[in-house]
Amino acid sequence: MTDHLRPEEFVEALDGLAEAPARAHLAACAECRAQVDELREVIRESAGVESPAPSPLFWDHFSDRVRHATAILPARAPWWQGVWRPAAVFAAAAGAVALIVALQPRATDAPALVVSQAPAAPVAELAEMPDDGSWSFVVGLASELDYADVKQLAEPRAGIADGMIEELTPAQRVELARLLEKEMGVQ
Amino acid sequence: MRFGDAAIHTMGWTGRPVTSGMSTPETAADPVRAAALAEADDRALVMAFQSGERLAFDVIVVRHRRPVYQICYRFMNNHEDASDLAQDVFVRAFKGLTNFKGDASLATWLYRVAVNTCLNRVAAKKPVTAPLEVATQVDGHAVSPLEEVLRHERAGKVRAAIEQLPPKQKATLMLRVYQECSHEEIATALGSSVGAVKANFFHALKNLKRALERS
Repeated sequence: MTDHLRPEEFVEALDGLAEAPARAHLAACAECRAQVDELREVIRESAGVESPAPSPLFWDHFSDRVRHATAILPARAPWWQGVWRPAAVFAAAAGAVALIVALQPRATDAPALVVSQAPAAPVAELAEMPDDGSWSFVVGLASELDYADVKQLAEPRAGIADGMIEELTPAQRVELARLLEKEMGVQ
Repeated sequence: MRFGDAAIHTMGWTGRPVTSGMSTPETAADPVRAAALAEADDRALVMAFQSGERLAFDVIVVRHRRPVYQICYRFMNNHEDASDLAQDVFVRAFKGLTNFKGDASLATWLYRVAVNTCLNRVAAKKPVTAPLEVATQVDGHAVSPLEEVLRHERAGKVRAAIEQLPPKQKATLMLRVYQECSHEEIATALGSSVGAVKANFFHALKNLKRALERS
């Protein structure tokens, strides 16, 4: 008998999961049977060696140590949430802008303010407009969003208006002032 | 009972007995939520943690600190290093748990973190070869002083023989014999194939047998 069990087959035999050929070999090979018995004895002896148990007081102290060590660490969201959430917020915002642009009248030569003075379409009329897929797309994206995310993205922050005004050219600032005065009724 | 602290015993996500029982500033602040988390299985705890509930991590620590400590102890053979390493394991787990997707059980994932942490430490520092602490008596029946001495002496030899095993064989033996992991779980924990795990286990046993025959 020369083809003895391979290491994996010995382990399967120890687990009582030897396949039929290995079982047949064990039945015929005293050497392999003896080795299985010896290995089983080593397992039994190893398993009997317990690791010392720390004091019961140690465990509370240990939990405190872990809590203290992790207290300074941020509880981070999974990376995929970090990527898809802002992306989804941005995509929804972009989709909403695209939809608004698509629904605007195509009178390119009309003054900008004329649009704002036009009577708003009744809500019922908007609801009956045919959906070319854009609206469903925006609704689908928006349904995945948390209110908190949108609020955080859209919420005006202190100084943001000042920053935007800083970026305007002098001519744009004059035009902005004119529009504001007109809106506020300042003559 | 090998896992967790005494208190509430349930069958968790891993199919192994899990326990709970904790008292922290957070649990004192929200005892109802703490009680709910203590009853939750590992999968629910991971989801709660990933949603930002730090309290869920406290429960995970309470539930898994004993086996993690045991793995560290068997690698380092002394309490000080084992407790430092076990703490390091949970700090790493805290950082990595946000990206845990549940492909393996939480216990297996923690064992993997523990084994890798231990292997890194062993590579950097030679552990104490002889354990300083005396093993606790686990079975209840009375033994004579002579039997106790012989048993203690033999246990010391087995520990020393395990200590001499190559790191991968030692990790395989510990997870199989002491943590009762399946070969598949060990393969996941060690990042190797099931075949390699079985071969490592076989060679670990053979090496142990040889070392014990010499001693």
